[in-house]
Order: sequence, then C-alpha cells, then structure tokens
Amino acid sequence: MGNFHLIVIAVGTTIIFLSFFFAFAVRGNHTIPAYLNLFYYYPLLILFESVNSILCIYFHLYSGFTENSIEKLLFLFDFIFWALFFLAVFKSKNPVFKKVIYSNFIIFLLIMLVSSFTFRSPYESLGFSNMGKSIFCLLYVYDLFTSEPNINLKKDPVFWIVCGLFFYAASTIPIYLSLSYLYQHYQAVVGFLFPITNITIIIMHLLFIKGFLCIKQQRIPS
Amino acid sequence: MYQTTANTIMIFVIVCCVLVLVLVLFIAFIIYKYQQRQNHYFQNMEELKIIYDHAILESRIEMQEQTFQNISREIHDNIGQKLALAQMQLNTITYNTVEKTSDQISSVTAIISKIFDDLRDISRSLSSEIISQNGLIAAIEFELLQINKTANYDFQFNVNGDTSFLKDETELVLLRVIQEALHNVIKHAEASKINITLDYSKEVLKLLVSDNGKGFDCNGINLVGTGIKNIKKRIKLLKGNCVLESNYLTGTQFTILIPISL
Repeated sequence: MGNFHLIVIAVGTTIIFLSFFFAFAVRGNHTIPAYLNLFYYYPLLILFESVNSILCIYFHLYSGFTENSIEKLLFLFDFIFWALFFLAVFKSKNPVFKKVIYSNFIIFLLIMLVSSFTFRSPYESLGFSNMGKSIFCLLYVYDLFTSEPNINLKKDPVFWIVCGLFFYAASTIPIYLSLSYLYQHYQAVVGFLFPITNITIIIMHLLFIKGFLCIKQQRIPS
Repeated sequence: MYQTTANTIMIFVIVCCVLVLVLVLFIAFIIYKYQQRQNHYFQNMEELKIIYDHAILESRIEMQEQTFQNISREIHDNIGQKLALAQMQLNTITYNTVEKTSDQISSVTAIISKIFDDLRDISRSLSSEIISQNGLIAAIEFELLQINKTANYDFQFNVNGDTSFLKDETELVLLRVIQEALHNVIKHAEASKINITLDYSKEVLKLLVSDNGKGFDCNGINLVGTGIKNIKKRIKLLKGNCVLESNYLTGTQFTILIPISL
C-alpha cells in the first residue's frame, strides 16, 4: 500500500500542476471575470501543501509540529480563498447570498481557529473548512435553480469548478473529522482512507481543468 | 501479506469507483434538471414573445384604423366642405362683368389654396416623418398649432430636464397617445385650458396631459370607446405605466411614465 500511496501522490501532484498550468494560462484574459483570472493561486496553494508534506514526511526537513502549523495556516488561506471566490461569483446576485457567505465564513473561520488550537492534527480544521465550502457550493446550486436559467452549464467554468469542489469537500468531511479517532483505534484504516482523499483531490483538479478548458473553447471562435 | 494488500487495493478501487459514480450521477442530475428548467423557461419566453408580437400587431392595426378614421373625418368635415363651397361658387359665376367674375374666381382660388394647406397639414400630422426628422417635442408643438387653427384653447407646453431622443417607434406611439388624449379633451371635456408637460429624467420620461374641463367619475364611466383603453394598451407595450385622474372640480389629468431606455 505504501508504494501505491506514493503513486497516488505522484499522480496527484502532476494533476495539480496541470491544473495550475491551465488556470495560469487564462491569466490576463479580460473577457473572463477576475475570480477566474486569479484562480491559479488555488492550485499553487495546494502545491505548497503537497510540498510541505513531502518535505516533512520524506525528507524530514522539519518536525511534525512545524508541518502541522504550516498546514493549518495553508488550510486557513484555502478557506479564505474559497470565501472570496464565492463572494465574487455572487457579486451581482441577491444580497442575501452575500450575507449567507459572510456569516458562513465567520462561523467556520472561528470553528477552524478553535479546532486548530484544540486538536494536534490539522485535518479536523480542514474537515470544518470543507463543511463551510460545501455550504458555499450548495448555495451555488440553490442559486442555479432559483435564478434565470440562461447559462450553458456544460460550458460554464464556474459550474465545473463548483462540482469539483463540492465532490471533494463533501466526500472528505467524515474522513477528516474522524481521522484522529481512527488513527488511535484503527490505524490501518487511516492508511487506506488517506489515498481516497488524495483521489478526491485529483478528481477535483480534473474538474477544474475541465472548467478551464471551457474557457479556452470559448476563446477559439473570437 | 500479498493477499491483504491486493484486497485493500481492491476495496480502494471499489470505493473510488463508487465515489466517481456518485459524482457523475450528481453532475448528470444537475445538468438534466437545469436543462429541463431551461427548456421550460425558453418555452415561456417564446410564448411571451408571441403574445407581445401579437399585442404590437394589434396596436399597429388599431393605430392604422384610427388614422383612417382621422383621414375620413378630415376629408368629410374640412376638405369636403371647402370643396363643396368652391364648387358652389364656381356654379354661381355669372360672367356678366369681368370684375365680378374675377372676384369670384379669386375667391375660389383662395379656397383651393386653403384646401392645399389643409391637406399638407393633415399629411404632416398623420405622417411619422416629423418624428424622425424633428423629434417628439417638435411634433407636439406642430400638433398644438394645428388644433389652435380650428379651436381656441389656452395651451401650455412645458419641457423639463435634459431632453433626449427616444426610439422613433416609441416617440411615434407617444405622439399618437397625445393625439388621442387631446382628441378626448376636445371631444368630451369642454375645457379652455390644456396643459402638456414632458419631464425627462435619467431613467424615466414623465408625460402629463391635463385640462380644466368638466371631468368625470373614473370609476363610473365606461372607458370602452373613449380611447383610454387604447392609450393604456399602447403604454403597456412601451413597458410604461399610466394613471388617469379626473374629478368634476379640477378636470382630468393623464400621467404617463415611460422607461427612457426604450
């Protein structure tokens, strides 16, 4: 399983790198909104998280405590990124959405901060952050079915991005929140669950790539 | 050991497949439901467009019908009378003396010349050319001038705000609405004063037509046939709003609001 995990990490890092490349390629395109223009920061953030884990686990450059602290900080930036992303997506929509995003952001930010100090592992914090992100995604789906249906979903980059995020965030909530407990009682299961979270991250980034390909396809006719 | 790893990988693959399947189903479900909603929405839009086009066509036919009525009335009441007078004078020419005959012919010539003027005025009043060439304000001024030739009213025409040209079609509909409102005042109100105000603001054009006539009970009167129904229908087509206020003391006031973007 160890080698398999390594393969998953290698494939995952490549996909994240590709996702960064595609997001970076549309940077400076004035025909798309700023939140897509600046989206490349997100894969970059995930790459940092990945590099942080590799440097600590495989190269033992610094202690687990330092790694955890850096992870917690990166997870915080991750959550802030998504809050800003959804705020930008709902910019011209019903002001109630903004209020929901702000309150959701504040509540989960507080929970993340509290859990950062309470738990040693950063994954509880990530679990709560994913809970907040899932609510953002549900808000997007709600808006999709209540506003005027005038977008082509199959060619809408935001739709694919939100699908990817929702899939990753919703499916990993139970894993991250129960990780400490499982580690104490069923250590073998943790080794099995971790690659699953990596697979969800890979699928999420594949969907991001799909979203950015939609932008590229839209640019061809012009 | 090897068997355990193989089993773990098998379970791992199954779990991943299930997750991917759930994702695919989720995306397919959302796209399917959204497209269903989209189809319904476009169908509704299409139906609304057909209704709107039908209403526009109806309004155009109604405006055309009214134009024909105006032409008919003008020919019968004005041109016809003058031509009859000219014919009568031509029939009474005696050719006794050159002076008298000359006077009679001059009089007929003057009548025919007046008929030409009237015909030109009618033609201008009915044509939409004045709108496209000079705009709504000039067209209203011309209309008031025409009415003052035949009847004596104290007209007040005010324009407030920064004037802007609307679409020709919108201005034409507004002109016809004003003509209809003025026609109503002349026919029913027994007024001496007529006030027309155009109030241009950034988003809305407010048109006010008021008189000091005898007024009527807005709730009691049957509005069919008075042209008010037509006015309301036309304003609705311009996505505007109109309010009719009338009482026996202060006369009638028509307030019309039109979005300026039209």
